[in-house]
Amino acid sequence: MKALTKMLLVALLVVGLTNVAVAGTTDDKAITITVGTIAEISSTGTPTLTIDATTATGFAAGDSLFTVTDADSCTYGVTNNSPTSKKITAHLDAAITETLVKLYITLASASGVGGTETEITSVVIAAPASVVTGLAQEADSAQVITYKATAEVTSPIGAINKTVTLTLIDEA
Amino acid sequence: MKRNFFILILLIGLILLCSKAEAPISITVTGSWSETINASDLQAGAGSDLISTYESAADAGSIDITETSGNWAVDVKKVDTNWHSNLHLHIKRTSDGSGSGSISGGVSYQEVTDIDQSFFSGDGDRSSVNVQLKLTGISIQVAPDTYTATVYYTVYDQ
Repeated sequence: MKALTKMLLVALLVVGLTNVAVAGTTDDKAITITVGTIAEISSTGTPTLTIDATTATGFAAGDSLFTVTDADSCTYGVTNNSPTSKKITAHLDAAITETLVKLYITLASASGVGGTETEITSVVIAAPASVVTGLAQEADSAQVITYKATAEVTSPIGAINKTVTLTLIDEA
Repeated sequence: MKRNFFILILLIGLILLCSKAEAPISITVTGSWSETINASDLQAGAGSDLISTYESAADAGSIDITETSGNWAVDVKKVDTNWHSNLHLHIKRTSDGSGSGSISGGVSYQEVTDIDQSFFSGDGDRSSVNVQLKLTGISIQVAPDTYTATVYYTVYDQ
Protein backbone atom coordinates (compact mmCIF):
# COMPACT_ATOMS: atom_id res chain seq x y z
CA MET A 1 0.00 0.00 0.00
CA LYS A 2 2.89 2.35 0.82
CA ALA A 3 4.33 1.73 -2.60
CA LEU A 4 1.01 2.53 -4.20
CA THR A 5 0.73 5.79 -2.26
CA LYS A 6 4.22 6.84 -3.32
CA MET A 7 3.49 6.03 -6.93
CA LEU A 8 0.26 7.96 -6.78
CA LEU A 9 1.98 11.03 -5.32
CA VAL A 10 4.59 10.93 -8.05
CA ALA A 11 1.86 10.65 -10.66
CA LEU A 12 -0.03 13.60 -9.17
CA LEU A 13 3.17 15.63 -9.09
CA VAL A 14 3.86 14.90 -12.75
CA VAL A 15 0.34 15.77 -13.80
CA GLY A 16 0.42 18.91 -11.65
CA LEU A 17 3.68 20.05 -13.16
CA THR A 18 2.34 19.42 -16.64
CA ASN A 19 -0.67 21.58 -15.90
CA VAL A 20 1.50 24.39 -14.55
CA ALA A 21 3.55 24.26 -17.72
CA VAL A 22 0.51 24.96 -19.89
CA ALA A 23 -1.24 27.37 -17.53
CA GLY A 24 -0.17 30.46 -19.53
CA THR A 25 -0.64 30.58 -23.27
CA THR A 26 1.04 32.99 -25.63
CA ASP A 27 0.41 34.50 -29.01
CA ASP A 28 2.73 36.86 -30.82
CA LYS A 29 2.78 39.42 -33.59
CA ALA A 30 5.65 40.98 -35.48
CA ILE A 31 6.30 44.72 -35.65
CA THR A 32 8.15 46.02 -38.70
CA ILE A 33 9.62 49.49 -38.96
CA THR A 34 11.29 50.42 -42.21
CA VAL A 35 13.49 53.50 -42.22
CA GLY A 36 14.27 54.60 -45.73
CA THR A 37 17.33 56.44 -46.94
CA ILE A 38 16.90 60.17 -46.48
CA ALA A 39 19.30 62.44 -48.37
CA GLU A 40 17.60 65.78 -48.88
CA ILE A 41 18.95 69.20 -49.75
CA SER A 42 17.09 72.40 -50.61
CA SER A 43 18.03 76.04 -50.98
CA THR A 44 16.24 79.35 -50.81
CA GLY A 45 16.91 82.73 -52.37
CA THR A 46 17.71 84.15 -55.77
CA PRO A 47 20.76 86.37 -55.50
CA THR A 48 21.39 89.28 -57.83
CA LEU A 49 24.95 90.51 -57.95
CA THR A 50 25.18 93.94 -59.53
CA ILE A 51 28.75 94.83 -60.29
CA ASP A 52 29.53 98.51 -60.49
CA ALA A 53 31.40 101.13 -58.59
CA THR A 54 28.54 101.75 -56.17
CA THR A 55 28.05 98.13 -55.12
CA ALA A 56 31.58 96.84 -55.25
CA THR A 57 33.12 96.07 -51.91
CA GLY A 58 35.95 98.38 -50.94
CA PHE A 59 36.15 99.87 -54.39
CA ALA A 60 38.25 102.98 -54.71
CA ALA A 61 39.24 105.18 -57.57
CA GLY A 62 42.10 103.58 -59.37
CA ASP A 63 41.07 100.00 -58.61
CA SER A 64 40.77 97.70 -61.59
CA LEU A 65 38.63 94.90 -60.10
CA PHE A 66 35.07 95.04 -58.86
CA THR A 67 34.14 92.59 -56.13
CA VAL A 68 30.53 92.10 -55.05
CA THR A 69 29.43 89.77 -52.29
CA ASP A 70 25.97 88.51 -51.29
CA ALA A 71 25.78 86.69 -47.97
CA ASP A 72 22.20 87.57 -47.09
CA SER A 73 19.97 86.22 -49.83
CA CYS A 74 20.49 82.50 -49.85
CA THR A 75 20.46 79.61 -47.42
CA TYR A 76 20.32 75.86 -47.71
CA GLY A 77 19.19 72.96 -45.56
CA VAL A 78 20.43 69.41 -45.66
CA THR A 79 19.36 66.15 -44.00
CA ASN A 80 21.20 62.85 -44.26
CA ASN A 81 20.29 59.81 -42.15
CA SER A 82 22.94 57.54 -43.58
CA PRO A 83 26.10 56.71 -41.63
CA THR A 84 27.86 56.93 -44.95
CA SER A 85 29.48 60.34 -45.22
CA LYS A 86 28.10 62.59 -47.92
CA LYS A 87 29.22 65.83 -49.54
CA ILE A 88 27.59 68.75 -51.30
CA THR A 89 28.71 69.69 -54.76
CA ALA A 90 27.92 72.83 -56.77
CA HIS A 91 27.83 73.45 -60.48
CA LEU A 92 26.43 75.92 -63.00
CA ASP A 93 24.00 75.07 -65.77
CA ALA A 94 26.57 76.53 -68.16
CA ALA A 95 29.97 78.09 -67.74
CA ILE A 96 30.34 81.87 -67.59
CA THR A 97 32.07 82.70 -70.84
CA GLU A 98 32.46 86.41 -70.37
CA THR A 99 36.13 87.03 -69.90
CA LEU A 100 37.41 88.59 -66.73
CA VAL A 101 34.22 87.71 -64.80
CA LYS A 102 34.48 85.18 -62.02
CA LEU A 103 31.91 83.64 -59.68
CA TYR A 104 32.63 82.12 -56.30
CA ILE A 105 30.45 80.24 -53.81
CA THR A 106 30.91 79.51 -50.11
CA LEU A 107 28.62 77.23 -48.11
CA ALA A 108 28.64 77.43 -44.34
CA SER A 109 28.16 74.08 -42.56
CA ALA A 110 27.35 73.52 -38.91
CA SER A 111 27.94 69.77 -39.05
CA GLY A 112 30.23 69.19 -42.01
CA VAL A 113 33.35 70.80 -43.35
CA GLY A 114 32.46 73.91 -45.33
CA GLY A 115 33.26 77.59 -45.39
CA THR A 116 35.77 77.40 -48.19
CA GLU A 117 35.38 79.83 -51.06
CA THR A 118 35.27 77.90 -54.32
CA GLU A 119 35.37 79.36 -57.81
CA ILE A 120 32.60 77.94 -59.99
CA THR A 121 32.97 80.21 -63.03
CA SER A 122 33.53 77.27 -65.34
CA VAL A 123 32.19 74.46 -63.17
CA VAL A 124 29.44 72.47 -64.87
CA ILE A 125 27.74 69.17 -64.22
CA ALA A 126 30.51 67.13 -65.80
CA ALA A 127 32.90 68.07 -63.00
CA PRO A 128 31.05 69.61 -60.05
CA ALA A 129 32.98 71.27 -57.23
CA SER A 130 32.87 69.94 -53.67
CA VAL A 131 31.75 72.72 -51.35
CA VAL A 132 30.86 70.82 -48.13
CA THR A 133 32.15 67.44 -47.00
CA GLY A 134 31.74 65.14 -43.99
CA LEU A 135 27.97 65.03 -43.66
CA ALA A 136 26.89 61.82 -41.91
CA GLN A 137 23.57 61.51 -40.06
CA GLU A 138 23.23 65.27 -39.84
CA ALA A 139 20.43 67.78 -40.20
CA ASP A 140 21.45 71.40 -40.74
CA SER A 141 18.97 74.12 -41.57
CA ALA A 142 19.38 77.75 -42.68
CA GLN A 143 23.03 77.45 -43.56
CA VAL A 144 24.31 80.57 -45.32
CA ILE A 145 25.32 80.51 -48.97
CA THR A 146 27.67 83.31 -49.93
CA TYR A 147 28.12 84.31 -53.54
CA LYS A 148 30.95 86.53 -54.73
CA ALA A 149 31.46 87.89 -58.23
CA THR A 150 34.40 89.79 -59.59
CA ALA A 151 34.84 91.64 -62.87
CA GLU A 152 37.47 93.77 -64.45
CA VAL A 153 36.41 97.40 -64.83
CA THR A 154 37.66 97.36 -68.40
CA SER A 155 35.10 94.87 -69.54
CA PRO A 156 31.50 96.13 -69.23
CA ILE A 157 29.05 93.37 -69.89
CA GLY A 158 25.32 92.72 -69.88
CA ALA A 159 23.37 90.60 -67.44
CA ILE A 160 24.50 87.03 -66.91
CA ASN A 161 21.86 84.59 -65.67
CA LYS A 162 23.09 81.29 -64.32
CA THR A 163 21.56 78.52 -62.26
CA VAL A 164 23.60 77.05 -59.45
CA THR A 165 22.74 73.45 -58.54
CA LEU A 166 23.66 71.95 -55.20
CA THR A 167 23.74 68.14 -54.99
CA LEU A 168 24.09 65.84 -52.00
CA ILE A 169 26.04 62.70 -52.90
CA ASP A 170 28.12 60.02 -51.24
CA GLU A 171 31.69 61.00 -50.54
CA ALA A 172 33.96 58.94 -52.68
CA MET B 1 0.91 -6.10 -6.63
CA LYS B 2 -1.06 -6.48 -9.82
CA ARG B 3 -4.06 -5.02 -8.08
CA ASN B 4 -2.07 -2.00 -6.91
CA PHE B 5 -0.77 -1.42 -10.39
CA PHE B 6 -4.27 -1.56 -11.82
CA ILE B 7 -5.52 0.96 -9.25
CA LEU B 8 -2.63 3.25 -10.00
CA ILE B 9 -3.33 3.21 -13.73
CA LEU B 10 -6.99 3.87 -13.04
CA LEU B 11 -6.20 6.85 -10.81
CA ILE B 12 -3.77 8.38 -13.28
CA GLY B 13 -6.36 7.96 -16.00
CA LEU B 14 -8.97 9.72 -13.89
CA ILE B 15 -6.58 12.57 -13.07
CA LEU B 16 -5.70 13.01 -16.73
CA LEU B 17 -9.34 12.97 -17.73
CA CYS B 18 -10.11 15.63 -15.14
CA SER B 19 -7.25 17.81 -16.29
CA LYS B 20 -8.26 17.36 -19.95
CA ALA B 21 -11.81 18.38 -19.15
CA GLU B 22 -10.62 21.89 -18.37
CA ALA B 23 -8.89 23.34 -21.43
CA PRO B 24 -6.14 25.85 -20.68
CA ILE B 25 -6.91 29.54 -21.01
CA SER B 26 -6.24 30.74 -24.51
CA ILE B 27 -5.17 34.02 -26.13
CA THR B 28 -5.38 34.85 -29.82
CA VAL B 29 -3.99 38.06 -31.29
CA THR B 30 -4.83 39.27 -34.78
CA GLY B 31 -3.52 42.27 -36.69
CA SER B 32 -0.07 43.64 -37.17
CA TRP B 33 1.75 46.93 -37.48
CA SER B 34 4.30 48.07 -39.98
CA GLU B 35 5.51 51.61 -40.50
CA THR B 36 7.62 53.08 -43.27
CA ILE B 37 9.55 56.23 -42.51
CA ASN B 38 10.99 58.34 -45.30
CA ALA B 39 11.69 61.93 -46.35
CA SER B 40 8.00 62.81 -46.14
CA ASP B 41 8.34 62.35 -42.37
CA LEU B 42 10.86 65.16 -41.96
CA GLN B 43 9.57 67.79 -39.55
CA ALA B 44 10.14 70.67 -41.99
CA GLY B 45 11.80 69.32 -45.11
CA ALA B 46 15.50 69.28 -45.86
CA GLY B 47 17.53 70.59 -42.94
CA SER B 48 15.18 69.23 -40.30
CA ASP B 49 15.11 65.98 -38.34
CA LEU B 50 12.51 63.25 -38.56
CA ILE B 51 9.29 63.25 -36.59
CA SER B 52 10.19 61.17 -33.54
CA THR B 53 6.88 59.48 -32.65
CA TYR B 54 4.61 57.22 -34.71
CA GLU B 55 1.36 55.56 -33.69
CA SER B 56 -0.44 52.61 -35.14
CA ALA B 57 -4.18 52.54 -35.71
CA ALA B 58 -6.17 52.27 -32.50
CA ASP B 59 -7.13 48.74 -33.50
CA ALA B 60 -3.76 47.56 -34.79
CA GLY B 61 -4.12 44.49 -32.65
CA SER B 62 -7.21 42.63 -31.50
CA ILE B 63 -7.03 40.16 -28.64
CA ASP B 64 -9.41 37.34 -27.82
CA ILE B 65 -9.19 35.58 -24.47
CA THR B 66 -11.13 32.37 -24.23
CA GLU B 67 -11.40 29.15 -22.21
CA THR B 68 -11.25 31.18 -19.02
CA SER B 69 -12.14 29.83 -15.63
CA GLY B 70 -12.04 32.95 -13.51
CA ASN B 71 -9.54 35.76 -13.14
CA TRP B 72 -6.70 36.12 -15.62
CA ALA B 73 -3.95 38.57 -16.55
CA VAL B 74 -2.06 39.38 -19.71
CA ASP B 75 1.67 40.10 -19.81
CA VAL B 76 3.48 41.65 -22.74
CA LYS B 77 7.09 41.68 -23.88
CA LYS B 78 9.05 41.91 -27.11
CA VAL B 79 11.88 39.92 -28.58
CA ASP B 80 14.07 41.85 -30.98
CA THR B 81 15.07 40.45 -34.33
CA ASN B 82 16.77 43.57 -35.62
CA TRP B 83 16.17 46.58 -33.45
CA HIS B 84 17.87 49.95 -32.84
CA SER B 85 18.69 50.94 -29.29
CA ASN B 86 17.16 54.40 -29.86
CA LEU B 87 13.76 52.91 -30.61
CA HIS B 88 11.15 52.38 -27.91
CA LEU B 89 7.90 50.50 -28.39
CA HIS B 90 4.85 51.31 -26.31
CA ILE B 91 1.43 49.69 -26.07
CA LYS B 92 -1.97 50.46 -24.65
CA ARG B 93 -5.42 48.96 -24.65
CA THR B 94 -7.96 51.04 -26.57
CA SER B 95 -11.14 49.04 -26.04
CA ASP B 96 -12.73 46.74 -23.50
CA GLY B 97 -13.82 44.28 -26.13
CA SER B 98 -16.92 42.26 -25.39
CA GLY B 99 -17.83 39.23 -23.38
CA SER B 100 -19.31 38.05 -20.17
CA GLY B 101 -16.43 39.02 -17.93
CA SER B 102 -14.73 42.25 -17.03
CA ILE B 103 -11.44 43.89 -17.99
CA SER B 104 -9.22 46.52 -16.41
CA GLY B 105 -5.84 48.21 -16.73
CA GLY B 106 -3.54 48.87 -19.66
CA VAL B 107 -5.32 51.96 -20.95
CA SER B 108 -2.23 54.18 -20.76
CA TYR B 109 0.88 53.66 -22.88
CA GLN B 110 3.56 51.52 -21.29
CA GLU B 111 6.89 50.60 -22.79
CA VAL B 112 7.24 47.07 -24.11
CA THR B 113 10.60 45.73 -23.01
CA ASP B 114 12.40 42.42 -23.31
CA ILE B 115 10.91 41.32 -19.99
CA ASP B 116 7.30 40.25 -19.40
CA GLN B 117 5.31 43.06 -17.81
CA SER B 118 1.71 43.24 -16.65
CA PHE B 119 -0.52 44.68 -19.36
CA PHE B 120 -4.15 44.22 -18.34
CA SER B 121 -6.30 41.77 -16.44
CA GLY B 122 -9.88 40.60 -16.15
CA ASP B 123 -12.16 37.67 -15.71
CA GLY B 124 -14.28 35.61 -18.04
CA ASP B 125 -13.96 35.38 -21.80
CA ARG B 126 -13.30 38.61 -23.71
CA SER B 127 -13.08 39.14 -27.42
CA SER B 128 -11.93 41.96 -29.71
CA VAL B 129 -9.90 43.80 -27.09
CA ASN B 130 -8.11 46.36 -29.25
CA VAL B 131 -4.55 47.50 -28.65
CA GLN B 132 -2.56 50.40 -30.09
CA LEU B 133 1.21 50.65 -30.50
CA LYS B 134 3.48 53.65 -30.43
CA LEU B 135 7.06 53.99 -31.54
CA THR B 136 9.34 56.70 -30.17
CA GLY B 137 12.98 57.56 -30.68
CA ILE B 138 13.06 57.93 -34.45
CA SER B 139 15.64 60.43 -35.67
CA ILE B 140 18.28 60.70 -38.36
CA GLN B 141 20.56 58.86 -35.93
CA VAL B 142 18.60 55.71 -36.75
CA ALA B 143 20.25 54.41 -39.90
CA PRO B 144 18.21 53.25 -42.87
CA ASP B 145 17.19 49.62 -42.30
CA THR B 146 14.25 47.37 -41.55
CA TYR B 147 13.79 46.95 -37.82
CA THR B 148 11.67 44.07 -36.55
CA ALA B 149 10.59 42.77 -33.18
CA THR B 150 8.00 40.25 -32.09
CA VAL B 151 5.52 41.23 -29.39
CA TYR B 152 4.48 38.34 -27.14
CA TYR B 153 1.16 38.39 -25.31
CA THR B 154 0.85 35.82 -22.53
CA VAL B 155 -2.36 35.14 -20.65
CA TYR B 156 -2.43 33.19 -17.43
CA ASP B 157 -4.89 32.31 -14.72
CA GLN B 158 -4.74 34.28 -11.52
